[in-house]
Amino acid sequence: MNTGTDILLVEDSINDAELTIRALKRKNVCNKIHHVLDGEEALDFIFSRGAYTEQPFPASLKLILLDIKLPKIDGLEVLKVLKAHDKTKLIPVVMLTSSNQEPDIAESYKSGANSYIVKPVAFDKFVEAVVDVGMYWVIRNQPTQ
Amino acid sequence: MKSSLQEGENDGRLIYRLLADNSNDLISRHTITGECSYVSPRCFHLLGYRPEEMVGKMPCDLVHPDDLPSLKTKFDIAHQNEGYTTFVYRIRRKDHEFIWFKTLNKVIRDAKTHEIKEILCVSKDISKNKKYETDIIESEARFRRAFEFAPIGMALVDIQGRLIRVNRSLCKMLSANKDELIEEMLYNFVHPEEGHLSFAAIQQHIEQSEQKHYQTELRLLTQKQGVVSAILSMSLVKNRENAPLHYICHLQNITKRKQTEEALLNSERLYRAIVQTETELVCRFTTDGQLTFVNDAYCHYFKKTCDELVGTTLLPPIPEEDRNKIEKAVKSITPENEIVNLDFRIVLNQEIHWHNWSFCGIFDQNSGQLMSYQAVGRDITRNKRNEQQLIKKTQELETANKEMESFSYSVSHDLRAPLRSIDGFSKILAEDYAEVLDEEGKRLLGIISDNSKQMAELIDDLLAFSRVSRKEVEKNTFDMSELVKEIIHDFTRLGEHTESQITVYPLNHIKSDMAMLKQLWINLISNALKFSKNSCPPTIEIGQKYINGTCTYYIKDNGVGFDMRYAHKVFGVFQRLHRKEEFAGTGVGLAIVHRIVTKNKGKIWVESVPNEGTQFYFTLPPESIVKQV
Repeated sequence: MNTGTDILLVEDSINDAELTIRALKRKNVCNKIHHVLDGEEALDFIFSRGAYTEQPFPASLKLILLDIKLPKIDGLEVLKVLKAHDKTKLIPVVMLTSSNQEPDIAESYKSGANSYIVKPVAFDKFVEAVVDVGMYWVIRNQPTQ
Repeated sequence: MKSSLQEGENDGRLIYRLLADNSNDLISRHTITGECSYVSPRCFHLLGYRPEEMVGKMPCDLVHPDDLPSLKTKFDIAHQNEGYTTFVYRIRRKDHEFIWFKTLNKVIRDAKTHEIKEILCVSKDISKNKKYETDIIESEARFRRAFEFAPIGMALVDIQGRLIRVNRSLCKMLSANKDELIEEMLYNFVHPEEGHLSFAAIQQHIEQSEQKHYQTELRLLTQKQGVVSAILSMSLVKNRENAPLHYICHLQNITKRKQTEEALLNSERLYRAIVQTETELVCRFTTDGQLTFVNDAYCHYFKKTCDELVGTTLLPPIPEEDRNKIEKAVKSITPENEIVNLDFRIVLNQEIHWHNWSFCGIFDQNSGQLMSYQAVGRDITRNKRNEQQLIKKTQELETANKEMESFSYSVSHDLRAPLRSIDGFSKILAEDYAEVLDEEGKRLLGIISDNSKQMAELIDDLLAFSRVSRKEVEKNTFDMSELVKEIIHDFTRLGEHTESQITVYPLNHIKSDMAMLKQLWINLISNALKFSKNSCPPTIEIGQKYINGTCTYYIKDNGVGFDMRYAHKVFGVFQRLHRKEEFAGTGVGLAIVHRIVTKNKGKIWVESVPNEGTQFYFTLPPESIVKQV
């Protein structure tokens, strides 16, 4: 099921997730998006644990959109795990969050985040931001083989 | 008969010769030209010449050249009359030394012809008298000089108390010249408050004293120098007949000494007053720990009298740990490091009292040896308690701040997400169901979208405001002109506000929080741009000027302005003086400006005239100025 997933969206807000997915699909950036609701599920998905035990490692993953404030395991912890793991440390991780708090931003970059995007409140700007990120990391960016 | 007459004459001559030969004076006979015909043997004693050496000589050759002219004149006059004439002159001895001679001269004439027969002279050595005379003249001169140039004031005062002679020092002391002083009553210069010391009283004192002398301290009143303190001493001088002649009066100016004495006395008094009225406990003790002095506060605090304490080594109960600490600290005192300060505990009435004491070593100035200690202390139990309370409060405050931070975080994160959804889904509704919705439905969706945006702005501004409030001031040095120019560049970079005419006059280099100051100028400039956008052309001026000696920065626009009745609202949070439809904004920008100025210990105020423009002024502490322009 996860084979062929391009983007993993880690977002606890169903509404935000819907708006994000809709924007990426409408603008033809990407159709293969998998949405998980918390940090634990994100790590399960990537490392084939829990509900995803049967699934293999999602090798096609081109981008992880990661919120910070998440239930169970928060975004910064997920980021640290991913960047500490050989298998996952090269997957681009973009923090897509409502927080514009300086400590969060600094901590993210220190932990190896590739970008940090504050979700604009206005829908038009939000769509623009999500599309820009998707275009860059999924279409433009040349990952290592 | 004739022979008996001749014999009688011869006898007379013999007697005279005998008298002349044995006289103590030099007796000589001279011819009319002055040549010696007889010189008595005394000559050898007085002049060193034997009589036979002198006979036939002219004595004028031995007279001092300086005395010769006057001697000759006098001699010529003497020849005209009959009596005796006296000459005083110097004559050279055989050993070339001059001695003073006083010569009595008698011209002997022929009884019949009246012609001068010979001249008789009796000469005395008066050198000794002469020397006394010169000594007296010289000593008189010395006295005059001593009087005139004496460093203290001197005067001769007559019996009535009038000044007869005054010296320079006295003139200086009384700020008057000699002519002004002579004939003045000495008492005219005495301070009126010294009235009990009249001249008559002084005279009486002198009369009663054995030495005929009186000395007293008094104040003089002078025109230029005001009150002068002096020591007056007066002595009575009497003449040979023991009648009072005049007073010699000495006046020594002791004003400076008096002032110094007074200052010393005052400082001593002051020091005592400080030490005694001091609420701090003050004591001195010897190197063995024996108390030598305690002030009132010390006695009062320990409920003991001064006598009970001084001389004892009594120490209030101090916990051993603290006692060791004190001993160690006191031992560390050296002339280089003569003061130590420490806190320790004292047990009084079974209660622990915290004390703070400064111990100061007093060292001998010459030997550098430790003489004693002086200590000043106070009970700081209450402060300690307050301190602990303060620590507790600070901790509470820190907790509250953390809560506040986490609240801000929630606000920023949790309140935004639903807003995005409101905005997003109303947009989707408008897009995906455009055909189903009528115009009113679309308008209503628009209102939902506008309000969500507005709320988002409010949240952002509120967060910005709370961030400024929480942020600690960091100081860095920067050029404010450059900062303002950069901000203006950012505003106009994207081709906006190009119609605005912005002038920036030079501003100081300052040391302040650059990030805050940047925010301040951004808000003030954007405010000015916003409210002047409808003016033709929008004009903004930024500069600094001195108002009551304080450097004041200002920004002036020609915008819509406002009624000064509402000036107090300008800096309030969410306060707006214009309708939203006219000028956008949440009313937080100037509240942030106000908070920044206050945090940087400055002042801000505003002046405005409706439809003419607004001028904001703010100051920063004077020490923030690094370089003035």
